[in-house]
Amino acid sequence: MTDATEIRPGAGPLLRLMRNPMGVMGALLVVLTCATAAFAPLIATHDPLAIDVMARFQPPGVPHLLGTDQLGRDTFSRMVMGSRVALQVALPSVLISLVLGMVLGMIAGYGPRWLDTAISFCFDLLRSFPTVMLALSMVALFGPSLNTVLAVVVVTSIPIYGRVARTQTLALRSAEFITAEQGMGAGLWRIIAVHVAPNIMGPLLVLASMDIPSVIALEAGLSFLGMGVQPPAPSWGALLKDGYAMIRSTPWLVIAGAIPIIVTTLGFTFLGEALRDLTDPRRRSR
Amino acid sequence: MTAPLLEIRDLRVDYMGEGGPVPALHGVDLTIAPGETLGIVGESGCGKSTLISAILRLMAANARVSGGSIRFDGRDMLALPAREMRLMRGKDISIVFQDPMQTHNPVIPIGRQLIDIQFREPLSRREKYARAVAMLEQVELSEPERHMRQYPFELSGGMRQRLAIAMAMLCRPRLLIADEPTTALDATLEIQILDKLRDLQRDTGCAVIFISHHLGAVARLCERVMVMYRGHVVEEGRLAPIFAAPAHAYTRALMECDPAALPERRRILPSITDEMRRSFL
Repeated sequence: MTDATEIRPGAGPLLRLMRNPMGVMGALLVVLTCATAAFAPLIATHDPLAIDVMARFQPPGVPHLLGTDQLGRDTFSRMVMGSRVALQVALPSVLISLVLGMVLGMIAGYGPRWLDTAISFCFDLLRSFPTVMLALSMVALFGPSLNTVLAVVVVTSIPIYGRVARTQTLALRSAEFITAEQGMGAGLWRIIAVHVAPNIMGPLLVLASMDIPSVIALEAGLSFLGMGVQPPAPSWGALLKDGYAMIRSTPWLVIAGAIPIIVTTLGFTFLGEALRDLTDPRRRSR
Repeated sequence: MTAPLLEIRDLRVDYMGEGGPVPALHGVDLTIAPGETLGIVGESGCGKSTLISAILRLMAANARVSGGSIRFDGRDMLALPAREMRLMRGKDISIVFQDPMQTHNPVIPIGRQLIDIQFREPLSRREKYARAVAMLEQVELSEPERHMRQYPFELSGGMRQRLAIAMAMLCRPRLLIADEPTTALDATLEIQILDKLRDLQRDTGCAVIFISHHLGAVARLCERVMVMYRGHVVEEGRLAPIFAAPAHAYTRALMECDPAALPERRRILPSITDEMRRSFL
């Protein structure tokens, strides 16, 4: 007996993801964003930085598909190039904090008690700062730039991954196969790298995929406040900022900034939720 | 007699409880020669598992050795630094646990686990793979190449226990501790696993400590038997004399509980009552 929604245990993870409509939707949007970023110079119709004061505030049309801004720059091209800025911040920062958080969390969960206390205390300390306030103060200290945004994201998200990794490791610590490995002479690093890491990977990947939208939103938010990526770099947040003042006369500027943020965050969120469903043992048939 | 491989003298282990230390082992003596098979029998809570966790120094956080000595091949194991102790595990003393469903990493393929556990061997990956396949053949897992690619959950309980034995033996231990390896299996599988353990023991010449509460299993595998009760060794010696004429009241009572020994069918099986317990110690 086989109905359409039944998941065959033998089916590959990609195939199972593709049976979930939300997963398909998320994957499509994520692929769209990544492809845009990868081929941005080919897709952009104009130089996103080229100023043409004779063509200020052009409405959408030909040759400016989404019109132009107050300096006559092509909005469509800026939107397309903005995907690079967004992913340049989101992907490395999430990757770095995922790896660091995972390693620290596993050490806290598996290592000696005092180390656990110390690492957990650092996690709590970092998490007790509101992210945006921390971001603003770091920008004030080090000056606004892409690297500052990156550092803020890494510092604030390490504890998120670290805590999940720690809890998962604590649950595994007393698992019998870990004891068996110890009984056969495996040391701390071998157990962490070979046995703990692959077991806790699932929830962390889901977390990372759901974290990407909030990082993109944070970057856009900081850029909107003028604290993030600096002009003339085409960040989506900067597009919003430029358009915000003239929302009544030239709404396409705001729309060009908002649509890609919405598409990208939705895409990664959908993908994250689909991944969560996939790795959730209660929903997975054995 | 040759020098003993493992020699335990007067081992005492306490568990730290809220009301002070609770003794779990009251001075246990154990000697095993190279290549010998020793069976340890006793009921749940008699200290069998505490004993092996003390030998491997993988004790619970609240356990404490309060006296006695453990010497392996002449080395004082209780004084060994943690790092050297870790290196001894597997290479000198390896272990097979009770529940085969729990003793393998669920998320990585069997082949990787079998290759990874050979981290001490100075071999290439290809040679480690070949050794793992050969070992799977030795424990009679059919189609070893296919199993190397599978995950533990794709195997049955009996197959997984063979896998656990293969993994322990890949470390070339001189002493294999089998902690109730057949308790979670049915009777037919139990005999197969016991015979496999005996064959491996003969082929490799490693000593075996076999822990069980099944007297029949011990009789099939072991030359010598040790009976434990409430943290004491109540009887110890060669298998046949003890089974023929148990000296201690607990051993006698334990044997009378074997349903296979009953002359006729009855509704109530023999058991060890609280009254009998008072007379044992």
